[in-house]
Amino acid sequence: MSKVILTIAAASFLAPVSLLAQTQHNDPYVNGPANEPRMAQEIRHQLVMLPYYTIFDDLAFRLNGSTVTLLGAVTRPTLKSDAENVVKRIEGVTQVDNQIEVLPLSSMDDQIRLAIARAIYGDPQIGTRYGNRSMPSIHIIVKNGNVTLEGVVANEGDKNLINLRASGVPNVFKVNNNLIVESSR
Amino acid sequence: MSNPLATYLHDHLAGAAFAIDLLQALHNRYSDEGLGQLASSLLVEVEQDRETLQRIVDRVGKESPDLKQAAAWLAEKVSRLKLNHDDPDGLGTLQALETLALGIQGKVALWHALSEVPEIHNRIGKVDLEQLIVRAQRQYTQVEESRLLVAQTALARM
Repeated sequence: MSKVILTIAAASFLAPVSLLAQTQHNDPYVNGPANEPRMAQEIRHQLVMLPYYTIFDDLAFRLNGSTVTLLGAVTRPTLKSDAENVVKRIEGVTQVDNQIEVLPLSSMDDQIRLAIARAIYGDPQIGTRYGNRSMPSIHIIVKNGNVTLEGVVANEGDKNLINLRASGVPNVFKVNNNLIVESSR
Repeated sequence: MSNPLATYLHDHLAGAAFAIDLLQALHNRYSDEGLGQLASSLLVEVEQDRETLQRIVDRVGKESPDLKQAAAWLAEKVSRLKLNHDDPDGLGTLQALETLALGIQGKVALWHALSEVPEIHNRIGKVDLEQLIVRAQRQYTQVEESRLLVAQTALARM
């Protein structure tokens, strides 16, 4: 149950930082623990199947009983409403708190997105291992020149290399590297 | 004697290059709109797909003279599909999206075809064709929905 907030208030005092970060931000394309509740699995499945969900969007969720809180930031307003609609229909879900932020339209941010994606996925060490999945696991969120990297990578070296690639892109003010290292999960 | 696999792969490689040109044009033309954002996310994926295809070509297929024919055919299509700023009805955009949608369907067919031949599957190593199929199907859905949206404007004037 490391990925789903059910007892976060009690557990957070003892949880390591990386675990805390995971429980607060469940990326749907990252596999949950083996004993994850069926409802959480279904939420992951429904979110990851949304057709307009791209590497430039960050969708995440918290599950508290039968209440689902949707988190993250998306480039298209319809993705926010689509996410809410599919989660609402899941059996057992009684309430959806949609806290997804819609990112402002900005050609500068869009240029940065594309440049960072090319810098990261164009790197031969990264692109071949992370770029060819149905939903690549490194997501690039850009808001007013500030970049947040979300998702999961295999090791610390990849995390640092990706950070280096993103930081080297012109017009980027700051990079927040929230990538989770798979081996530390 | 020509290698049918090489010819087949090179045709798709030329198609990928064409798709990248079109997506770049869409991205530039609609940089402040949702369509531009969609084009940029697709651009990254299609560039990745092209790289994957190139790696497969490097492993299983040598260059074929047919590539030149395919490239010439595509160049001619590109010249006709250039997106102009004086395209208020969006007919050029509609045609571009339609071409992309068809091309992506072709890509789905490519990955399916490659996965049907065990000899190829063994030689291309770690390429996960199932993942690529799912991704291409998602790309198709995105492009097709956008195409239908653009059609509402582009074809409304009678």
